[in-house]
Amino acid sequence: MQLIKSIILVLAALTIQIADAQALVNGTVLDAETLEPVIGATVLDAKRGKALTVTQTDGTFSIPKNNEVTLKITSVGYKPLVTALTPDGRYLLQAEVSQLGEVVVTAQENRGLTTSSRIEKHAMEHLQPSSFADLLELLPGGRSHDPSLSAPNNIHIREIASGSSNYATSSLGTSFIIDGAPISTNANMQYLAGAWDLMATTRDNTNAGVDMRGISTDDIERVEIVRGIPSVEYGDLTSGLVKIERRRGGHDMKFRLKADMGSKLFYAAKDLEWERHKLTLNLSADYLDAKADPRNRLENYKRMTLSARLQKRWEKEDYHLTLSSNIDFSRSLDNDKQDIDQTYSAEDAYKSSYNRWAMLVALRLQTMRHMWLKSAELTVSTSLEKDLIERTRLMQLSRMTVAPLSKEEGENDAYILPFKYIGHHEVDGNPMNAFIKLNARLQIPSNIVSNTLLVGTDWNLDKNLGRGQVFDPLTPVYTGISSRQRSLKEIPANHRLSAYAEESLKWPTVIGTLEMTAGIRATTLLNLERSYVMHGKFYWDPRANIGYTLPRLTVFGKPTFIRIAAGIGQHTKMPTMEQLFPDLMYIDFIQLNYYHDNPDYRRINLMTYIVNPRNTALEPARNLKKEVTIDINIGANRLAVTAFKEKMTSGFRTQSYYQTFQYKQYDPSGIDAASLTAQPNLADLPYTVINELAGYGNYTNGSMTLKEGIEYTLETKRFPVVLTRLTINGAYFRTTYNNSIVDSYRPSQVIDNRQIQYVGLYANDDGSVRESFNTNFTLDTDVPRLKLGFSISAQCLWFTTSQRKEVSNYPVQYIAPDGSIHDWQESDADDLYLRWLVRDYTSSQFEKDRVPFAMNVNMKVTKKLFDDRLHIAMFCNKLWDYTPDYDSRGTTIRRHVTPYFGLEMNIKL
Amino acid sequence: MKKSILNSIIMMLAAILCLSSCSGDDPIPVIPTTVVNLEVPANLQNVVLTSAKATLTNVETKQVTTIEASQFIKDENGYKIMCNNIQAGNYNVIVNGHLEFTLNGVAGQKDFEVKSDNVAISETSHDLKMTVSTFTAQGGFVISEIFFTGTSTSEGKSYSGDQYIIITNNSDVTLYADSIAVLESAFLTTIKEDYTPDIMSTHFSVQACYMIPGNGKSVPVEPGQSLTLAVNAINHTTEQPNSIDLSKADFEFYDETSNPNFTDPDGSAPNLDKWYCYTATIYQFHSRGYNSMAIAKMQTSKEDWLENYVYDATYLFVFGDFSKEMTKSGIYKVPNSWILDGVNLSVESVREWNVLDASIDAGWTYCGKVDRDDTRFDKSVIRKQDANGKYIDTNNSTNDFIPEAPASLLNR
Repeated sequence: MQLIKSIILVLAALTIQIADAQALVNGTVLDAETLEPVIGATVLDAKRGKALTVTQTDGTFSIPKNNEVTLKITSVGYKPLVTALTPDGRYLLQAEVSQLGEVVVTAQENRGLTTSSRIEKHAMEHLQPSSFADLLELLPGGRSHDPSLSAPNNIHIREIASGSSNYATSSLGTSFIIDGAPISTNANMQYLAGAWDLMATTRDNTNAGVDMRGISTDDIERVEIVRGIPSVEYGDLTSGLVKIERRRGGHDMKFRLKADMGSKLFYAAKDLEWERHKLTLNLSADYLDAKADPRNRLENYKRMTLSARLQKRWEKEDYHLTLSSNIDFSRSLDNDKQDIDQTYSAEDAYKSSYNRWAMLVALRLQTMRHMWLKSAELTVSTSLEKDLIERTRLMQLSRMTVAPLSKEEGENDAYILPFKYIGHHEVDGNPMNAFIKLNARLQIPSNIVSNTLLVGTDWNLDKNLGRGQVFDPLTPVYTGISSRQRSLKEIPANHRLSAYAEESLKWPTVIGTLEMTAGIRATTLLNLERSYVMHGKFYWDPRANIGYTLPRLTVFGKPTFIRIAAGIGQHTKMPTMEQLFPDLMYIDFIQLNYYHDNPDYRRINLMTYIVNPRNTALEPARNLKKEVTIDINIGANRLAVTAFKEKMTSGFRTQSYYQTFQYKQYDPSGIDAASLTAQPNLADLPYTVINELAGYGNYTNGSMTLKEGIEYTLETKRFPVVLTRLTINGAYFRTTYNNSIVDSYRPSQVIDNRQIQYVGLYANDDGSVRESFNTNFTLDTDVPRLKLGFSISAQCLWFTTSQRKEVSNYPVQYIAPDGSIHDWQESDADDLYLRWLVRDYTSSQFEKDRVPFAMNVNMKVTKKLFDDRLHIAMFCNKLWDYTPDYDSRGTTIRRHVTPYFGLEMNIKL
Repeated sequence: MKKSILNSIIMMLAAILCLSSCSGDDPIPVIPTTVVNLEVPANLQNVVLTSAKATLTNVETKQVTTIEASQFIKDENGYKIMCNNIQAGNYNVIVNGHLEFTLNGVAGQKDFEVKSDNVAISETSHDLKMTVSTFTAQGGFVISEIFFTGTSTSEGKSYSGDQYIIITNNSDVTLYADSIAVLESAFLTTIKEDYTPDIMSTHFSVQACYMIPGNGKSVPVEPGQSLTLAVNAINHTTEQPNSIDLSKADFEFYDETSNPNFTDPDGSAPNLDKWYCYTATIYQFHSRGYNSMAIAKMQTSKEDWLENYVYDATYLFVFGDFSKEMTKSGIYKVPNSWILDGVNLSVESVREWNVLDASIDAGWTYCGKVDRDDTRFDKSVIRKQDANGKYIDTNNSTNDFIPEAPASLLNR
């Protein structure tokens, strides 16, 4: 708080210090409909036709005092305004194409330089989402999907997701920012070590980014999803940025009740606003209960969010100060239980809860005087989570099973588990995040260009205070796991420091308007041991977007604007805590496996090795984006087409490594079982020393993701009489995944009583190319007289293809049990053991698979009643479909589509 | 010793001659060569006769002629026993001995004694035929029971460590069980694919091969006797009261490993020799019976089989909107001619085909009519027996087996 105070003081001092030039007259140019500033409008002397100046980012301008002058203000997209100069005047420009009162139920392409989709409240009301994941249907390339709320929902921008955790960097590298506060997932360690059961593995969301199920949509005023190159203000991302702005102010009491085939949602909100005090307070609560199968009460997902958002504005003559503060709580709960009556009359349950408290304080200072400093912003956000996974299971083993206990290297006896016990495994995580961001927008006075220089810095801290994997090693749920309990507190905190500077220009000229945003961001990780390659290293993200708008044309008698824009930018995502500091691997080998009828005489002796799988050579994932956009506006009709190419060669993946270990193989065959009076003594037993290869995984930068494609959106005006607007949007995506690191594989076959002892090394393994091409035709009709809106969306997926990268069945090298590496010889393919290293891909597995045309037709209706106080909406997705059978390698593939319904009621009091 | 016997025989002969001449009748002719043709069952191969003895007793004179093994001459149908210089007359003939042979490739042995009374030996009739008919050497080892479902705990959970398979000597000769392997099919009876090349008519495709060890004659099994091969040859009832005591099993499927995730208790029963298994984890039978099982006499060395009997099958895999040419690797093959018995297992609701050639098993059997049927526990498939207690083997397990029979070793 002391910090904030002093900043305000400094800023106030600055404001006062800058002497006001008395000879100047100030003015502000605003959009007549939205009252938003018009940036880069040219202010001319109407009589002489001479340009005097341009408006700045806040719409202001100042010109020498001259009472004679008549001003003409022009800006692309606006009707010129000719008016007399008034001191401190507000000049309202009328848009050439009025959007007033237009209800937009689709996502709109942003009009700025950055390629992004804006989704407004109306669109969300019409879409009737249960969670944020449902909104993605509106993006180019998006398609409606049935909500799938029993597993995490990750975002995949401009991508045909592979589903593999080795290519999850795209979703990990999409940053979600709510009211200026980022949602950090860097310290998410909620995975059940050793889990193999679907109950647990399908719900593992570590290193995969934000789970969109947890974000409620009801408070959202607008969302901007940046698909292209975001401002350097935003970092720690590779693939995209989701900026969510929530509602502030108002006087309503709102309720929403939604039910669809899988979920029920209830929302209540109270909006308060004291106009006189420029104070707003918004309170809301939301509850979602979703079931994987409506007949099964035991597998469900529940979400509860509580939000309080306060904003206070001080509007002084010289400055406006806005203080925003949010307190949020959200709780997500995944539950999966076996029916006790139907099965084992004992526990078999999975429960995962995320409880997140988040607090935000943002202070924004906006100077109202003509000076270099236009605005300054300080954002402080913190979040604390209490995450807990609980897995309980009645364990009934089918064979003698051991629990390795030793936390140290060396020989030790394993604990032989009882055949029946209740296993319990918890994962306790308390990720904590703190984020401070300070930036300022400066303006270099200029009469030719409107410009802003953004400079800023941010610091991010991630720490996990949880207990981590918590289980009694004597009653494990996952037997024989290779990790032991580790408190997450031991992991050093992740500190990330960034600084950035960005210049934005708008230069109106007679041959068109030139716009440019160019900036650079530097990021480094602090608090990292010297051994890490990243230690002390700065990663630079230069990003630039340039646009050129042609002078106003007239096509079919309509005002026409054409803009061509291009961008290039580097993006960097730092590894997560788990990727930097993975659990130690305990590799155990059985040295003696002695079974006796008397349990007291049984003995399993192990040799334990500890491997630290941390990869100090790990570097951040970096994505280079390039794109070109053409944006054509003819009247109220608009076509925007973007071609993009994103190349990320350093995505995170797990790679397995093999190493030779030695252990003693004791021969118990000489033991006379009948004469034993205690466990067999190791010293009495003969043994042979065995070399064996064992593998472990570590994180590397081996995943390449190449995204290419074309996105397009065509929006028409609302045709009169039929009151209908047509939106055609879609995309062609081509995503190439590739592993650039040698992969290893040890066959599982047992030949003559021993598992094959060799490990094959395969070059550039694993990869695929996927394509999809879709178009959504949305006709939305808005009948204000009937307060009725409905839309029909024909979602056409012209084709999807997928093709695996052709890889060789033959290894390039192999590792022998002693650890020596040998080149693969052709004759090895006939060797009794080595031939198993030859994999069994057939050429047809590398052929391109093509799924032909499919179309779903979705319908949505909204109706307002009782003076807009009651708002009823329903949707039916896939009401009608056209998914013809097709032939694949002589087999007829039949496709089935099931409709999905939902209904909701909104009450406003 | 020999001499004294010979002497006494000469003495006796002299006495008999003296007695007969005293009777004053016509002199009885002496037949210079009498041949007793001993026929052994035609389905025996590599027959070796030891400790053989033929005794011809003259009915009138009670004179006894004994012919030792050295005078047994092997021919294509059995043995010729040469008796020289015996008097014509009626004789009671007894031949006994010990036969060693292979039956369908399996080593076996049998003591026998055949008798023929009042056989006339004369100048015109001195070529006798005797057939070893005290045993037929029909049948051989059969799978008499497969307990693949396991038991269930008192809480209703599956317990699969107590699976076993019983093989029985269904012949009337002693057979050696060593080098007989238990085979598990590589293909599932619940997923039919057109595997190319299709070798089913000549070979059985296997993913696991565990062989009874021995030197060829280490594990004799008496006619009608059985061997129990247990997945874990331990007393399961100490841990799971509903289970079975298999500590007395004859052999165990033991999976030696250094990986503590896959510890396998090594009971006191001798371990089967694990020639090949598709997985380095624990081996057990498919607890719903998706794989067919067979037993085969391995007719080549382990090294040769591992080296030369790999089978790479390709097939078209179709799933949802996906169809791909695939290679099913990790399969070995066993010639059908080595197979002694085989049983197709499946589940009615998901069954698609048989993975054993119809010459081995034209039918199939089961525990549980629907997939994941929890009532299948404690049940096994047991071969039917005829009135004489012989197992019925018509190479059609639909007829030959009792499906869902209570497991025979389960005492409850």
